[in-house]
Amino acid sequence: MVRLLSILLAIGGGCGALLVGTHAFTEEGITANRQARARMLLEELAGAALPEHMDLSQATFGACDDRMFQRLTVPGYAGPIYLTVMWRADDASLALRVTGHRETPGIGDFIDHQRDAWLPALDGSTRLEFEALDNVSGATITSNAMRRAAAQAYGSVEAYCDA
Amino acid sequence: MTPNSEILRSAVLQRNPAWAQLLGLCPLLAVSSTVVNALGLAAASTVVMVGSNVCISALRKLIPEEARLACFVLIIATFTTITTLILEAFAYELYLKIALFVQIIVTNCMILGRAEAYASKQSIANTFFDAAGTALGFAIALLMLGAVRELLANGTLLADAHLLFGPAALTWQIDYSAAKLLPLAAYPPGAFLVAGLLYALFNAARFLRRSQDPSSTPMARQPDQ
Repeated sequence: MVRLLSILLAIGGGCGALLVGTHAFTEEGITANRQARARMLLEELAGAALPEHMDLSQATFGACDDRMFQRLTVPGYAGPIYLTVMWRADDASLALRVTGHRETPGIGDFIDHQRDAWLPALDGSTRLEFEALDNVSGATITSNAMRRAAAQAYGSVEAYCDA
Repeated sequence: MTPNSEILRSAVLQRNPAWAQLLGLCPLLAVSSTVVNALGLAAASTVVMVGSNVCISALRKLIPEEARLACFVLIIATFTTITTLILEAFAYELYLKIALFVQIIVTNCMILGRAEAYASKQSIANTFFDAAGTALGFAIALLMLGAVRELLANGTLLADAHLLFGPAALTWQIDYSAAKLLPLAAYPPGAFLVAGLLYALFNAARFLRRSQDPSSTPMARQPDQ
């Protein structure tokens, strides 16, 4: 029994060491790729280049009198849905983009802006418009998640700007 | 023919994981919409297949019989994670397209099957050739399906090759986009249709070869090595 456990520990340790080494080797590249993609997505939402010095790693950032950017997570049908949200001060509207999800392909993946124009078509919608958003047939939980994300975004902006 | 080349030939042709054993069909059908996607998954599967099977063969005398499946899955999962990390670091756009199917390589019965049936009982050299042959067979199936589907659906070949080979590959695309013969081929039903036709073609070639060579035995009757 002790021998069995020792062997399993040794194999597990070896696999762990390989993973730690690979993680150290690839971490810099992965971080750079993720940041570049996040910047590209935000610039696409804003319709303009963002300042180089802007810290994109925060959960909420931007200016309360212009544009605020947020990262949100809401529960979906098959796991968390990760979103990036832009709030505009001039008309208090939102634009949402999903950056990660596990919704069912062909049913709940209409929220992925690279597959479907459903979410980009809602760009510029106000709080009331998001609250009155219809469910997509067959994807009630995913539709609820989008309404919840919009409500959460408005709540975060208010909390951030009132503080 | 040397024993190693015989192992390789048998793994690619007689025991082709996709066309002879119908293994690993989920990623095969899902990712093979273009040649570049197919190449990406083929490369990732090859790394996991060869790396994990050689590792299992090297450790075969150490791995306890009663815990062998757990050890195999642990080793395969390690190589799958390594491949995913490398892909995310060095081919990010391609990673975004095929990441889901790279991550589920760990559950691919083609890899676990060869680990259990071959790598855990054979020498490192034999295992290397068997794993390389199986991976090559899978890659050939992926590329055939990817090429046919991309041609039928988009009228192109090697579109987006720069995602895998860098900016130099931007000019590699072959464009026949004026003739999009079967747009359905880009979607899952089209994948099943094309895969079915290629499977029939592969079987016809095997039966033809068998009828010309009476000494060859049916694949199903061969003992698994």
